[in-house]
Amino acid sequence: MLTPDAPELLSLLDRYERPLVRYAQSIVGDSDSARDVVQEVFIKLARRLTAPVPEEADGASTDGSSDPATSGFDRTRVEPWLFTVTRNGALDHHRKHRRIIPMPLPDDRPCGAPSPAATLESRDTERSLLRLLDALTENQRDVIRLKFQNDLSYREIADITQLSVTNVGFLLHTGLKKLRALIAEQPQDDFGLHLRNQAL
Amino acid sequence: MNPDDPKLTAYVLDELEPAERAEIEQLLRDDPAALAEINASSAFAARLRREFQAEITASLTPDQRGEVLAAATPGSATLMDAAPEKITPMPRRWIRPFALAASMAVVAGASYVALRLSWDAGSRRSFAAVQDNERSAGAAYAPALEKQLAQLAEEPVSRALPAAQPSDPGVSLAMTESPIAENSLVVDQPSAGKPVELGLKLKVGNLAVAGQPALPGVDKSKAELKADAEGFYEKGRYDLALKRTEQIINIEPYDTEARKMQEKINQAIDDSAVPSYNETRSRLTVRDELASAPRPRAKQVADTGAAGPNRADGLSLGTAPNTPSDASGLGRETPAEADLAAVQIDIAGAMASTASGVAPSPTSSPAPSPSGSLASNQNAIDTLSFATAGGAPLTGPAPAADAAKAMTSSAAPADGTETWASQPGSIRGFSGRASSASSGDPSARPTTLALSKHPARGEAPKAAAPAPQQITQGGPVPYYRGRGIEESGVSSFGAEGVALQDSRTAEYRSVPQPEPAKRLTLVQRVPTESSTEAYDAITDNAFLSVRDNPLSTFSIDVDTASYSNVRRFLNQQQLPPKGAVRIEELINYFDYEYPQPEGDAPFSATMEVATCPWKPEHRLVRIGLKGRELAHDKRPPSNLVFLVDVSGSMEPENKLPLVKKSLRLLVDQLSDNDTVSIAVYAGASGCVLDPTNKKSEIRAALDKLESGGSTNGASGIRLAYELAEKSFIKEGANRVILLTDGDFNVGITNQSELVELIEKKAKSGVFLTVLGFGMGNLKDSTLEKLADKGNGNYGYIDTLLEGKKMLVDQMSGTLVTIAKDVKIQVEFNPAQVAGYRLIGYENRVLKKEDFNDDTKDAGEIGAGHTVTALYEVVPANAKLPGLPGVDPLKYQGGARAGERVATQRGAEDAQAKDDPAGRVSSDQAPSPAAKAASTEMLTLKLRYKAPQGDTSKLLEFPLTDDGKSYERSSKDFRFAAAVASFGMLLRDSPHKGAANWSSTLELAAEGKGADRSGYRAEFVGLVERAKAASSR
Repeated sequence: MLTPDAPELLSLLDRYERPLVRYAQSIVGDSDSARDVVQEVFIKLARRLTAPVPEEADGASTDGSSDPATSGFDRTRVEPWLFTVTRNGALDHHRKHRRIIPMPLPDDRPCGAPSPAATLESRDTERSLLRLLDALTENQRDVIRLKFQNDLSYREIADITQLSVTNVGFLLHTGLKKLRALIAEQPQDDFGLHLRNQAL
Repeated sequence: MNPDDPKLTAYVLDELEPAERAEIEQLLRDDPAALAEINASSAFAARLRREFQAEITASLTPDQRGEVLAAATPGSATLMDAAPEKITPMPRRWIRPFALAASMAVVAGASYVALRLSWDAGSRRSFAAVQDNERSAGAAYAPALEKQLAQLAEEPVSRALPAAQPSDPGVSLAMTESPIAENSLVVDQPSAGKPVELGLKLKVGNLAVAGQPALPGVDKSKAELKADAEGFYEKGRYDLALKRTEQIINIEPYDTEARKMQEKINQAIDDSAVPSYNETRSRLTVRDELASAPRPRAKQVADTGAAGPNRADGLSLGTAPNTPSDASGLGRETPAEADLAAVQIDIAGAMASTASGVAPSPTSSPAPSPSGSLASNQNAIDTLSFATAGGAPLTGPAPAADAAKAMTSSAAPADGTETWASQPGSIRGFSGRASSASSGDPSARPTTLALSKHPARGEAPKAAAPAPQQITQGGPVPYYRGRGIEESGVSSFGAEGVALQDSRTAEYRSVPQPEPAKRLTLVQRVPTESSTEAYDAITDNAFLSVRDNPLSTFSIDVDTASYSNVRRFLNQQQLPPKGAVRIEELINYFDYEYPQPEGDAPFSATMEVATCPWKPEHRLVRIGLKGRELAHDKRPPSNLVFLVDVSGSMEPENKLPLVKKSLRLLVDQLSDNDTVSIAVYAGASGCVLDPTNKKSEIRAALDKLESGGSTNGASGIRLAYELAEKSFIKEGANRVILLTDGDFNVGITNQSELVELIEKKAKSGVFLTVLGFGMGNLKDSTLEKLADKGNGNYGYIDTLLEGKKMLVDQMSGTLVTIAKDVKIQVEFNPAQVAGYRLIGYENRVLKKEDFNDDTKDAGEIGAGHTVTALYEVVPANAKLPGLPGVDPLKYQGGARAGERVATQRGAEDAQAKDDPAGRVSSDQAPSPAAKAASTEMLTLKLRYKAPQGDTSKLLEFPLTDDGKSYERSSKDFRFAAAVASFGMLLRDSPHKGAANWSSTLELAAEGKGADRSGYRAEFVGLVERAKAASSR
């Protein structure tokens, strides 16, 4: 039988699976591993949700004591919990599999693919963004992603990354500054035909 | 002001306390440089946000979702119902764009509504406040704000988590004096019966300070057009949205936002093909494999939950009617149209129940009927939708209610009443046929056809557009099965896919859900074609002519895995793949009442012959062996090594957790004389527990097992054998018990190397028992071979009950081998028998000369094991069916053939006498006398070795057919016959004769007997399931 928690789980799953996969992917690199990580996260969540009382016995079986999956589970703060567990899982996975260099998958969109122009454009921006992000430190990348992709507050980001709130603010500030500086160096690409023509 | 102050960024990101914010704003008024910095910074933040949100994201695979949901289903794997499990995902990456579009639609829709509703109330008021402060430039702000809002509305996904954001409702909205306006919106959701707060933070950055005067008239109308465009876009009225953007471009050709918007719309139009295809496919997947589609359904539900009208529109309106010209323009005259309509009904029905969260929609009401798989599955679908909708408290803003209502009414045509009038656009055009289609034969539903309507629009990629057309031409196809898609790849909506599905459907159609209780299987995964389970193809043994093949030789087989595997399939409403059905394993799953062996022989042999139930002119011979039973306290000490696969694939509840539970049961049975060690393998192998006889240590080690990583089977097996040799018990049972799902995906995957290793170790006295777990990537064939070569048995444990049967009830049989390399050779008398067929044992057949070759490996028999073999025998006076067309041999008369047999027998006798090892010929010394031979039907010869021995002993038993009729046959005989015909039916054997499900049920009922363990009763249930599954 579906437990009463299943619908809750479903809605959480639907709301967070993509953000989490995206986040995990930013850490582990490839989407398949990211999916595996996120699956684990949700399985943990499912167990939390279905567990009658937070299980203490469970703690012995997992290694990291800082893993919130084994510490208390507060239903009102599912979102940070999810991100934290995802982050830990992804980092774990990344540590274990660092040597594996993922090959980029071919862009496989059999139908409903965007027009070539749209693809090109989004690829351009995406690429430049990704490339620029690579210039940042890991921490900066992390907080920027959590902030801009997932709209988390400083507080939440601090909880997830185990940094202080001030540190998060600082990382965001410096990270953004650096990104801005980098982007300023990039050629404008906002339909910038006229700009380019002017430059010629 | 220090530009390096992180507070500035925090201010831009709205992370400051009100006091700090005020302070900064105060400073900014006096510092134009800082102000410029802030503006640039917020613009950049917006861009960053936009680009981040636009990143293409993968979602979990349906299977992964299934597992997650299974994890929320406590105890599902512990008994009869096995939990879902990882199977190789089908390629779904192309769903990403759809998902992205959907989530964009969600949020943008919300922002649109927010804009519309709060514009007058909120923003204007805050302008007033602003104007008070900054009188001079006041008029300029309105357009600026409008522009900002429009811009913000364009980055919809940034608010992708609306309800998760606790917003400050309203407070800052009305009172705000700062240039930052927070709008929040509470939407009452009548259809859901709950007010739903859609927290929507629309932060409008810094307009007071941005303060550049603009061209009010132009910008305003542009902004209005944009808002309209957004709105139409969200509503799925792509055509109108496109028109608005064109108007903007007419005003301002270089308006990049408008152009981007246009692209977005075009993309959405393209993408609408994906959801519709997706939708329909998932529906069909659900229909056929109820259990396996939590993901797509859930997706839909959740999207509805989060998005309300947008999703509703996106599906019911968006799939077809939203682009009315396309939808109605295509397929009108084709038979596909009715199907499209049918699809829409389906979708609409599901939408109705999901969006409104009330009782299942009318579509679900038809009671299961003869053609009822559709109806009842529909029930189940709706139930799922319903269940999930109930738990997804988020529903969309008000229009959702309307949409939901509309959907409810649109679901009605499934019952034959037409209320399509409530639907906009071209859907009306379908109404008539829609109802007829839906009330008609459910098999005429290749619903993927909805797909063909959409790519037709504009930029549809070439790959997509022609393919659906092919489907349309493909005509009515019973079911559109996932397999077709997978097999022919992503571009396979085409003809091949259709062709495939025709041929495959029979095998995998599901059983109607007979009662509501069964619907709990919804979250359970059935192994489908997409799984990586591997089965070897089996060709049924054919009838052989006694004249050409007087000897039938095979190795015994005490495996029972096939039965529990078949049971697993049937319990999931599926017929098992033919290769998974090994009839001998089905028959041997059951205990038969054979007498205990007399004297020294390790086993007894029993034979019975009576009329063949499925072919009355034939005789059915049952040969039964029974291994000597061992009293529990007489069991020799055991040295056991549990080799546990802890790779990632073992994670599901019905694998590693079940392994642990099963092993615990076994450990409970062990005594202090027994030694246990535990080795695990995954990416690498390791010893978890050194040999010990302390149960507490064993249990503790078992508890610690966790899964993760890939599977390096070979190194694990090596390690396990090392452990076994370390604590080898000379007079005891030394055994490695491999517990795995059989997926050796790393390391030596070369089977022959593994097999060689195992064979070598088996000779050293360490046997191998293989227990298969889980499903999806169960490598049935590999596991069977390993156990076969390792002198052990192969069991499949799908439930804890089965674990108990293997490891507790039949513990001594599983652990203690009483005879090894047991071979059976049956010599038929041509005077009595024209031909014969060995039922099952297809992969155990030996060459006739292997019988006397002691180096040839064969099956083992454990303490208390029974082995049953059936021969269908054609009497000498009956016609031998289906023999290859060789003319009768001129020089091989009956007499000569008899002579030849006699000669051969003589030779064997000589061999037996010459054998220095003293092979024991049984008391019934072979009587080559032609007279005796002419009345005997056959002679059963057995060869076996003692568990530690190297030379075989021979037993012989003659059988004379006393012409027993079926009515006088024993219960066990009938039951074995029932199981055999069950297997033949599952395999669709060419030799099944008159056997059918009903006759099988009759046989089973007659043969059920006392059935103390209840296994035979379960068998009857399985036959009924199989009957139901195959009748569709």
